[in-house]
Amino acid sequence: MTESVVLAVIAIAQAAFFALLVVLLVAARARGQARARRDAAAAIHSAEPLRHWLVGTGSAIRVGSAFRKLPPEMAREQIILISARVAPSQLLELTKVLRSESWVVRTITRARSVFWWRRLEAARLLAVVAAPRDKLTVRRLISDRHPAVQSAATNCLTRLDDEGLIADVIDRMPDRSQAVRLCQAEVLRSVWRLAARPLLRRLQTRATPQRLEVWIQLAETIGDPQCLAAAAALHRHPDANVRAAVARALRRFPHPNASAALAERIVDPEWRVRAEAARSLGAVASTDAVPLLTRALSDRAWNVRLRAALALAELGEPGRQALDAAAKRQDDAYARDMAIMVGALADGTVAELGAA
Amino acid sequence: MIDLATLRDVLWWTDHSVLGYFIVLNSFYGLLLLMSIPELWSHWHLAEDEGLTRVLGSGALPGLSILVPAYNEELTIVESTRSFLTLEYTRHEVIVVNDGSRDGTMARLIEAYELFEVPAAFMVTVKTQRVRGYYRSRLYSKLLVLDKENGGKADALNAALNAANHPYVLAVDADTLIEPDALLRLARPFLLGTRVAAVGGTVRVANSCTIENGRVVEARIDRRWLPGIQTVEYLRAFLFGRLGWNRLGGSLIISGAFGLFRRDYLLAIRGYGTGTVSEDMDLVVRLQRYLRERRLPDKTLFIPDPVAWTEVPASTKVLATQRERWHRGLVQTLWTHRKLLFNPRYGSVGFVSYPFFLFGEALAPIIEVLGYIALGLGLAVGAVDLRFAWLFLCVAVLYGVLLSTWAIMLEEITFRRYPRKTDPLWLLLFAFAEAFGYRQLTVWYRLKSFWKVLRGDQRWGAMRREGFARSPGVRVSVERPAI
Repeated sequence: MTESVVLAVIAIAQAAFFALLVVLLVAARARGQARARRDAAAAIHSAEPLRHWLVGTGSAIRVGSAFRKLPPEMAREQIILISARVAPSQLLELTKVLRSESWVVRTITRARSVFWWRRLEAARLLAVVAAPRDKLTVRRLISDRHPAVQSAATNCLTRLDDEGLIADVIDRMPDRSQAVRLCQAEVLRSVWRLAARPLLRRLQTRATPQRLEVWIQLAETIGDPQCLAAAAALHRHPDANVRAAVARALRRFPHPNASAALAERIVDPEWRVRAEAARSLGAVASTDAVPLLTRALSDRAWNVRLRAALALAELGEPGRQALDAAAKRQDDAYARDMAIMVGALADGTVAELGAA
Repeated sequence: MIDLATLRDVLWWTDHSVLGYFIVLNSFYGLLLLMSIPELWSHWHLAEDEGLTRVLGSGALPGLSILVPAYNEELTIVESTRSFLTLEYTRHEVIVVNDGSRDGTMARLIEAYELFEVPAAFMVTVKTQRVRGYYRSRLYSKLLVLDKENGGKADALNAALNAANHPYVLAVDADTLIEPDALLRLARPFLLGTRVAAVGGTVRVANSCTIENGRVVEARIDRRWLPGIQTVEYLRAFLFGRLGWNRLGGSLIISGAFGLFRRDYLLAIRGYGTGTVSEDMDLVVRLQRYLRERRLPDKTLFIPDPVAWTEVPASTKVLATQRERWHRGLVQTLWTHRKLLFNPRYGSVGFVSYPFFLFGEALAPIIEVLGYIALGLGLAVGAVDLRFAWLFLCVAVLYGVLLSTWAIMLEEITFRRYPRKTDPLWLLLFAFAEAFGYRQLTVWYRLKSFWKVLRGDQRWGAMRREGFARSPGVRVSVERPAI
């Protein structure tokens, strides 16, 4: 009988657990629907003061009090949404009002939470309402162990205008994951006036190839001429990844120094560097590059030949003529095949492939 | 002759062994379920973070090649290729392989995408059947089409793998519908700095869903019992079955219909195996072996929010073919890689994943049938009493229902893809219905696969489907030839 008793106990426990799950399931659905209705009603309630404020006929204080009545997570999402659509001066007016609201203070306090998603909430809100007094909190969030928090906190840089914090971000960038680096580069581009000086200093000092590569990519994103000139000076670096990063970054630097550096790099021993140099020569649109790119059509690496042919196709009439001539060559089948393939592509397709 | 007392003893022990097996197996499922909760919670928060999604939508995404094997797909190939080309991803190419189709698949592609032949300029790392031609499109730079002689799905995938130009490859079925942002979501672990060799996403049931322009615009639960039960089955398998494995050393399965892999690793293990009927599982097992043998830290992960939709069998005949083939592939793969079992060199794969798939999946139909027979005979000869038998069945049914209900619950509190009020109730109903008839049916199909394994049968079998109702009345055949 013992096993029957054990089985009976298991069956009863299962039935009870199942009943509980069904109740929870129904409750979760009902709660979700009630919440959706409540949120919709709250959104309508806050819409009016928000609309007046957006067109300049209402006050930020009224928006603040309307937000106070919203569920905190909804208010947070609303303010994040608005922040991307209004002028910084107008947003500043609102954030000054909101910064002392209890729900905002409560959310920011979560920056110390053990749960990363709570820290993420704090970082996202701080990206909109951060004030100089939040610098320490922002610094901690930027150094957070979770990549999503790091990315979100980086957005605070646009509100704080702090060169020290920016230099800190640039220093740590090489250790970050790709997504965070990308997010940080985008933010640093928007504060490029403050970012250019610390970046320039780092490009001019000795650093490991891995760090240099990341900073050169950042220089490319920011597009500051001084930083790109410093990057161009590294085009003979012994590390191939650094040379490839320089060759790629120089497509944003239509300058005689850049063209000279690219002319050297298109005969680099490393095929990745040659391919990037060919692409950049097409992007800077220098017709002086036609003979170099025509020679690169005979490169031993397929990728270099492809990049050279695409660059020629992007150079307009002189480049197209060079491609047509290469398509008739009998002495080099590789150059001819590539010229035929790229020559047959539509202009839009060439641009799409060239950018890929 | 065995006397009655001995027979009773044997039956008693058999019944109790089956009961023990059943409790251990379901407890392991319970463990998977517990492991899946923090994973699901974490991925759900990442999926909800718009800031991160915006970053993922930008230009620094890793390049990705979508590999699409196509055999006799003339009715759908143009539309499905277009849906792959228009996915929200900045750096991807689509490689369609016409695997020696006997219909107008190639002609449809040439006409729709203005294809022109280009020279072969790819390194052939994995040997395949002869590729007759490579084609690029005048309209879409992202499209490459390979026309090759028939060699089966794995061979077609290998040809695409050779031609792929990006560091990551995503193998999909031509009749799979991928959600527009699914690639961005799949790429998330790579971008967040996790060392990952392969990532699998969720596959959901598309039967009865509203589909427009190759996209699921409204998720619905099919009210017919076969697709309905499979909806619950897929939820259970993906929402906690595979998710739980993230914390237990990695699953041995990433769906062939929707899995992202590092191309260099696939080339290192010589691509997809052509001598198996479940090339997806074989690939993941070989990949796990490769990683463990070289002590590489890369993981195979499953993430729940990237979604692909597929059509599941709506008739028992098609279901039989599918389940029999899946199980045959499982048994073959486990047999081929038997070296992994309890081998310390392979760590958690050798001690957890492999034994689970062997004892909990491959041998499960044999043990289950043994249980049914022993219980029946035990009742007949008085080795077990009726009360025990009823309680045993009751516990067995409730275990399955509970796991399914929990999966439905997870779906409800996280992604909630089925919006109608009655949807959870239908799912609950199907969770119950699964235990009565469907489960026994699939056990029978899986049992039959052992016979085919012993005979060395390598055929895929015919897989006739209803089609996604893109064009009413059109039936899509995904019949495959023998490998």
